[in-house]
Amino acid sequence: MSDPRLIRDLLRHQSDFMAYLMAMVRDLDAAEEIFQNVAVVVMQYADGSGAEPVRDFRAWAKEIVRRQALHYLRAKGRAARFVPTEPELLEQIDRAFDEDNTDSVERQRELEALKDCASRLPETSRRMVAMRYEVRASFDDIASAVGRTAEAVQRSLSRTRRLLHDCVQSKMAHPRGISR
Amino acid sequence: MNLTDPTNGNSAEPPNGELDNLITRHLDGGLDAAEQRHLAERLAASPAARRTLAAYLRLEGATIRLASAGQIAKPGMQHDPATAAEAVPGGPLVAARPELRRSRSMRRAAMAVAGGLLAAAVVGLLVTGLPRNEPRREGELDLLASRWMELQREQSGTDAETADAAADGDDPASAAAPPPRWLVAALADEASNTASPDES
Repeated sequence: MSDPRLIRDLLRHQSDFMAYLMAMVRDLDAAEEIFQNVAVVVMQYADGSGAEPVRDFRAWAKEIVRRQALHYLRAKGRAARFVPTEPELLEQIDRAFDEDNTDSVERQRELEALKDCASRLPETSRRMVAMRYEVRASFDDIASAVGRTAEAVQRSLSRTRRLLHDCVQSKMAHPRGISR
Repeated sequence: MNLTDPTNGNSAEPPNGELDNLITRHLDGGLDAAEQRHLAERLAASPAARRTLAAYLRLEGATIRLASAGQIAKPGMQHDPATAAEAVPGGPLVAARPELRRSRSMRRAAMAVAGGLLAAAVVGLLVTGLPRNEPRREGELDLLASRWMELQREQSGTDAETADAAADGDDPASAAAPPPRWLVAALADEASNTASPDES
């Protein structure tokens, strides 16, 4: 009756789906809430009697994630100050996610590379990333803490993301790491 | 080698600067509608551009995963709840914005408590090998929590041979042991919405 593999697979793909959600809704807290709803849907399916076996979990669960995210965006779209994600861009995010067939070994290597790259960030950059992702602080909150404007923090975090991306890609291309 | 300080605004543009810039700004919610459509056009026209976006998404996922394991901040950084709690109840962010005491910081405090309780339950489960407490409610979140703990227990059995190696270092995969944040948040929310727990 119950299929624990679905829950296990969902947890295994958690960061994958969280990133997909971030691209769609651009809000970490919202992404987490949507993922929570997805988990409930998957859980209900896993516990349902007579449920069809899931052949391609990533594709199956991604569709649940996408629908939950679109539901959120429709509801949020009624708010006055909300800048919606354009449908054309949502389509391309979906396409990029579907086309990405990076395996778990490669993803683990990227995770290790990121860990090393993050440790090399300047103190202020690292602190801002930590505040953004660990504490879930808003740009305004980070700005208050580091003595900058929210816009400056947003720009700085974007540049930091690019630095980390380049660093990780460099380490993946040259597995022995960045020259010291 | 340290990475260039991006906070000074002088970091060099990478080879595909505009695309990277659009993607990173989008992830931070910084693109207006026209810029979003421009990014969509670039992605539609180029498989390489979509691969770049996919790489950024994997980076985002990895960052979230490291953050969940508390592996981004240096120990003792000002944002660290352990050190911040000594200085100001609720941490430095709350000190900067007192109105956060009622909302975000309270929710995070509840999350921390719920996370601690859940982690303790998991540790107890792993040590004894027996579930001490059956879920008392039939709610979906309880089911999720109990199922998550079952999976952790299964994992601890199948991964026993790799546990020593993981314990030697700070392997992010082994650090994924804490309960997922979404589950902790959900349990905390449910706990805060429950007037009186059905303990008796």
